[in-house]
Amino acid sequence: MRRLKESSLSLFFGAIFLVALVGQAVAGVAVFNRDQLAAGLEPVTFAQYVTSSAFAVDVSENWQSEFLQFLLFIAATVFFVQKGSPESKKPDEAGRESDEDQKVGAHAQPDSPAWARVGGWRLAVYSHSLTLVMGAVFLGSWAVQSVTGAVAFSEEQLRDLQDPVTWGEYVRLPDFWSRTFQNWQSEFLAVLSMVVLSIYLRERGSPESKPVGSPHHTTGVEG
Amino acid sequence: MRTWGAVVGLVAVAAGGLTGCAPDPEPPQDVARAFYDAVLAGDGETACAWLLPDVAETVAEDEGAPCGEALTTGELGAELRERGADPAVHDATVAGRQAQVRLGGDTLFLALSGTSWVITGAACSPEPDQPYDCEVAL
Repeated sequence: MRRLKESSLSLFFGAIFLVALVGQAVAGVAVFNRDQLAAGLEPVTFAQYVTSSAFAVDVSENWQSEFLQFLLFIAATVFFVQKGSPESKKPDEAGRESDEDQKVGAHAQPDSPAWARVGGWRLAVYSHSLTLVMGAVFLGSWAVQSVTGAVAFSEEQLRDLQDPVTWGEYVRLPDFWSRTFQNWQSEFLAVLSMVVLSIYLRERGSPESKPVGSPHHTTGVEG
Repeated sequence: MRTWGAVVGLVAVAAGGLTGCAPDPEPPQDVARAFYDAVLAGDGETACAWLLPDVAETVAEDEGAPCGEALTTGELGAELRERGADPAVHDATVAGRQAQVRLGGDTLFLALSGTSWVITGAACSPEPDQPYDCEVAL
């Protein structure tokens, strides 16, 4: 029970992720089958829908934008600051910081991760491991969006008695960039809102907020 | 097949794993050929059976005759016989549950309905920046 409580944040988001994904699939197959029936075609099964490009493009276009959002947030907050925001470092801390601040190499502690205690390429890789993984998932999701989007777009084209497109053609079409930018703009707005609103607004007890009584000009303090 | 063949193949494998490996449907290019084989043999009923039922109904309404008769007689029958005279498959593209087959004399559109490919458009001529103009379609 104690271990469950210690991981309750991950478990909570894991659970609502699965619920939302299933909800998307259930609603999506209903929409897809409405179009099938309107075209005089037999409805597809749930399994056929969740393995279709139509479902994959809808999932991957949201994934890529979410991982890009966090990738940029992690990387940008190394160098950029916002005075008064708990999401920002203090203005004089901008940058990569010293080995002492980062507890690496000679300044590593006994319980530091192994790759933080050694130098060379392993320390270099581990120092950027979060952005490397987030970036890899972003690029992978974006690639999946482009491939499945091309298939889904071609499917619509063929349904309308028009020629399909190749992947190379699709990534130059407005459909691909419309799907991409409509997700990016909302993610960037969400980060901007979090950075700026958290200067003035509070949520008591949340580490994403400053303590309720903390002054607006205090930067890098989480409650 | 174009690049989509591999994608569709992967999707089919994944779907098969979830659905207990349903039998593969007859490929769309075979359906297109079978349609024209029936037209050229004067077997209108069989040709109609390869059409999406709504398309067969539309053909009958437009031509004022039963579908099988409409596909093998009159102007439409003559055009189909002419288009079917070169049955070589030049290209077949599958994207999800839709397909396009280019024969020597025609471009056909098909859709996967249930476990079978059915023809949604035949005797189709390209139009610049527009959908194909199909004599046999909804």
